[in-house]
Amino acid sequence: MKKVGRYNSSKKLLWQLVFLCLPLSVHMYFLLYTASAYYEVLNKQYILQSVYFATGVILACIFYSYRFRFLPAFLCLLVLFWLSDKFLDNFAPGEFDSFFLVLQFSLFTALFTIGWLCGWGFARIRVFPVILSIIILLAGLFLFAKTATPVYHNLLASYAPLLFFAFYIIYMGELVRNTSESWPNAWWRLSKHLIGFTALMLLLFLLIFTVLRSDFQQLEDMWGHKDEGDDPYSMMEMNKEDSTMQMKGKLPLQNRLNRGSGEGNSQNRPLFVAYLDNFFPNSKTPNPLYFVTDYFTKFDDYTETFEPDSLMPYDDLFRVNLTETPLYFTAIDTNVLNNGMSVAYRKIVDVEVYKIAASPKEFTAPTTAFFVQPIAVEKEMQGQYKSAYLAKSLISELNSAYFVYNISSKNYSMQRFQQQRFDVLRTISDRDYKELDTAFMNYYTQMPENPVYDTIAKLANYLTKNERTPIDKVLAIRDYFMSGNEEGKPLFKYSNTSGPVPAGSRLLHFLLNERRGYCAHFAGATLFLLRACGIPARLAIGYLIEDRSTKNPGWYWVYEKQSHAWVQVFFPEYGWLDFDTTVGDEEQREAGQADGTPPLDPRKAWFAGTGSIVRVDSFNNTLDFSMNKMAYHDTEYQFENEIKLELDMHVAKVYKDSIQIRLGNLQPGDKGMAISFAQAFADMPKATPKNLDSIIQAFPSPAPIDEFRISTGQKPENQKPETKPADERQSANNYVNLLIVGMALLFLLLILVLLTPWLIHRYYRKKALRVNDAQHDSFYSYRAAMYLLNQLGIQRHDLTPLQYARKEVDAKYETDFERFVLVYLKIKYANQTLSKSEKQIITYFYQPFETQLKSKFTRKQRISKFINIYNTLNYFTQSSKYGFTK
Amino acid sequence: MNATPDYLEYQPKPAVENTKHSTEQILADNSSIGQENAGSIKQLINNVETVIRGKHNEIKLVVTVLLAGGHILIEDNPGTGKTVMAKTLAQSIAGDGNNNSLLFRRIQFTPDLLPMDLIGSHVFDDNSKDFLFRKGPLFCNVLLADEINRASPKVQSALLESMAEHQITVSNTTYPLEKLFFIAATQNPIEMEGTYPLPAAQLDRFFMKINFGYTDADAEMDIYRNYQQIDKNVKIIHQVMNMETIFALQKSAEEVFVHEEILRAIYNIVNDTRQHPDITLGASARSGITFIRCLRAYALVVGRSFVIEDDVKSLAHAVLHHRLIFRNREARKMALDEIVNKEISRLSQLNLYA
Repeated sequence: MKKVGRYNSSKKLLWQLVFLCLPLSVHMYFLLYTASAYYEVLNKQYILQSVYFATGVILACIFYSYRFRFLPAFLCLLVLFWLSDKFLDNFAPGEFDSFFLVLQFSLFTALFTIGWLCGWGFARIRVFPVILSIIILLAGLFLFAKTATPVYHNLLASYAPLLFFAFYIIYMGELVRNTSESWPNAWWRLSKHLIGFTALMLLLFLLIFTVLRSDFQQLEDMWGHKDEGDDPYSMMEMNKEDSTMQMKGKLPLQNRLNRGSGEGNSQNRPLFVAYLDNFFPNSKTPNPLYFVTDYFTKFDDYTETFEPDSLMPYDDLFRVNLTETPLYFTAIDTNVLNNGMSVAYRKIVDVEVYKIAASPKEFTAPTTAFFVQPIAVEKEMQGQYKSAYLAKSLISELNSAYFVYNISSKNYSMQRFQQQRFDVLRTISDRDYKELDTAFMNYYTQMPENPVYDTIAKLANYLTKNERTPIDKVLAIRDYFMSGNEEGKPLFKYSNTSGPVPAGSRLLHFLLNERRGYCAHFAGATLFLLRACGIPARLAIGYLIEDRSTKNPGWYWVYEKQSHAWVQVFFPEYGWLDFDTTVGDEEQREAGQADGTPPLDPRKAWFAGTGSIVRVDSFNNTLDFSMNKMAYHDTEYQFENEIKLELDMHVAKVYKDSIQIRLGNLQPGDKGMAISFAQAFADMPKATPKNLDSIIQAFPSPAPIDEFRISTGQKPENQKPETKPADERQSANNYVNLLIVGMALLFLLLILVLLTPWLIHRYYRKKALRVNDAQHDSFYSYRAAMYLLNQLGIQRHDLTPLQYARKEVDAKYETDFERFVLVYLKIKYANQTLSKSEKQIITYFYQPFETQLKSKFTRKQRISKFINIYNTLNYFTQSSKYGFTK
Repeated sequence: MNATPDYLEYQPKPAVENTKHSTEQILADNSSIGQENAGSIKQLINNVETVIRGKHNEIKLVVTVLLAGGHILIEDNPGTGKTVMAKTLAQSIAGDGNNNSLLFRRIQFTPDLLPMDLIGSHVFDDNSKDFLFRKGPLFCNVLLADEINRASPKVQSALLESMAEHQITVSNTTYPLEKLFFIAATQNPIEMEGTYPLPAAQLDRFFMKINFGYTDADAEMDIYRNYQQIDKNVKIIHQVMNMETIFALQKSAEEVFVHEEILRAIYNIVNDTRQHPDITLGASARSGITFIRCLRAYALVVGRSFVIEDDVKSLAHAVLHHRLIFRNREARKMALDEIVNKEISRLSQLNLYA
């Protein structure tokens, strides 16, 4: 075994480490620092992560400064990682810890591998600095494009170092390369160049940024946020500006950079646009309400997690799968109304929701929704909104987002507004709870049996010891979260570190020690504090609604950052009311995005019928339709016997999967839905079960139809995974899975690439063995031999096959390839029959040839040469070499 | 009747012996060209090689031209063995049944040489009182035209005309040349003053132009060691072949099989020389025909009954290079090789039956 030789001298290696690897690692620190503000998965451990990366770079640089082949070593590394991952999976203690370990390990793997590749590049590839700088510049562009706002000093701060580094690494790479170790003052030379280069670059950048300053500021004005005209026309809006929008426009840039989203998502996309027909009595000021998607009512003692429960008493959650409800048909859950248990201040509110990025399946509406009707989005808006629905909610007039907001003590008007409603609720006493159903009370005041919760109960009792009525207790608990410490600073702080709803010791830790958390922490803590006081409470998740619109009252734009968790408190007679105890979550309410124009008012569909087509008459534009289901004036009817209708399709638009098709494309037997907005239907009286038949008889014939939708049989919407706080771990797991799958795919690809030469060789051999005639046998044997020789690095260059066989192969490896090639050429170029001996040459050529060739190479040489894909590429691209331009 | 040659029996033993098999040996057994054909050509070459050492390829090319029925132009420095080679070749072939070798003539071309010095002249015969035609040195079998570029164009064209027409007309009488008529012309690349370089049209008449070149170190050392022996050999050259055999060989050369794709390759090469941006004068159709004739003869010389791409590669330079006019020195070196390599590469990748 020969000792592995050095590729670079130790002196040069040291230079590479100092002048290339170290700066790269420092730079990576900068990139990671920026990225960690944006990517939750990095978890702000940029120092540790930079160390991972630096380790990779330095180890690889040292390792590859010896003449190791890249591929085998890298494969070993991958296998090592894979094994460690398996080990971690199997032996890590506890589910929670294992998750974090695996996450940490994946990060380490990724960074170390990137580092390893960089180190290899520095050690072996001359053009690597160029490649690296391109990658880094692109990565930086990508990163800053997402995180930073284009403000000139911000650009300067973030992009200039990248630019500097890109120039630096190319320059320094070549310099180190061209510096001879034998020079006496090489170190000084390198340092001198380094200093000179840095000074020059700094000067250049300064020059650029001073000269272009005005341009940058122009750019900034173009892109930066301009405050909208603040000209509030009601008291409430003024207050709103004071309370929740105080941060707007003043948010320091660095804050923006460091701010992650509450959901761990990388974007703050608009999810949906909603119209809420809920206004204050002056009928001008919109009264927003929190939108609920689900309740977490049940607490699992064992896993210490909150869960949605389908068996909760007096279930008032409207469960509906929107993708299963046909357009314009309605779904109503009257149980929800019955279970609402509130009688006072009730009113029904209409809601329109136009989805942008929200899942098509998801249904969300203010508490308590009972009615939904999916509607079609107008053609012009289809690019913007994917789907839409109308909903009705039975809400308490006491409930309002303004009633829920945690407001600073300075905001007097809002305090007064809230105070009025608290006064209403003060009429409820503890005694009223005793009159409620015990099953209900037990369910919603259930606390786990655990010393931890005893501590929470003690805290609750301490906080509410002076309060009499339930609402005062609720307020006392809210005030506890709002209160300041001895120095007057807020006791609790909001943080972005998202996670599942905490429980157990973690909850206690949040309450008593850390006092930093995000909405789920506050909601979880409040829930137990309330339950400890005997007040029924439950966790609601959904969207925090903020009225930001000045031009379109009643319209609300909801962004991803507005997903929220809070508590609902039950008051007899008044039902479930929202309470939000999360502090300082202004940024959550202030999504930082200007609202757009709302969608057009949807036309009212008076008639919608599903059924199948009987006959298509594209000449007269009519359609015979057999209807089994009908929605007429918002009421649904099911027919046992299908009803025949003649439809007038003159103005109808025919859709198949949202693509408009022609009437002639319809086939008898197609199932579909006919929709009419026509006045003819609007003018007709409402149907009752009694006069239904006569009304159908009175339908205009042919009935004017505006839209006809062909149903394709399967559920058209591809369902997106919904993002809920509880899915946090799930999504992180997905990331790890993705990483592993990606690695596995890469690995497979690598294996495939490595196997390619072998497969090609096998192909020729198999072909040669399978064919019977000497002609084909010789051809494939020849191909196999040439390919094998090529893979072993015996290049043919410009030689003819015969010359090659004689000079390059037989002379060096003592084979008798030439004899075979002669016979092969005879077959190829002469129309003569072969003699028996020639046939024998063909038949018995390959096996001994291969054996002889193999005996001339060591196993290591053989394998490393054979799997070299470059040889294969070379082999199949040789012919292009001789092209000359005419 | 030969026993099965040992290379046909599969043995994994190191093919030390096998490497000794030259192409000729292997195919001598296999080719449909008779053993004696390949054998006699081999004998001829060997015979010449007793005198000219280390010039195997050049001798093969000269024999190729002889069998193709053409003439050759040898360009090289003095003292590289051109004359001896031509002379030996002539001596190795029996001219008639009487052990006389071929008629070999050598003319040293000078600027004052006149065509009649070549062709011959009418002389008054006292006896018959008539002009008799006295044949010049052209009436021979093998003519060595030394330093052809020193003669005046007048003489050159006379020579070349005779090569083309294979006959000479003096006054009103036409005299046919010898049936076997082979000219080996030489020219000296140095000392260009006072020379008349051959025009392209005349160069085209030569089947090949070859460079003799210096021998390699081993061969030259061998010559130094054995020059006495070689000198003796020159004097006692055996006749290994007669003229009839040459004619027979010329006939069988014409029967050598040329594959359609080889013809296409010849066309491509010839055509590419016309298209190439660095070649101002490309090859003519005649040169294509010459090329094919040479290929056939060459295949025969190396003992094959069919033409392969190696032959194309071996001959392309000798056959075509002197017919082309290149734009610059670089192209002179590269262009033809480029064209030929491209075509060879195409041929070698061709799949003719699978």
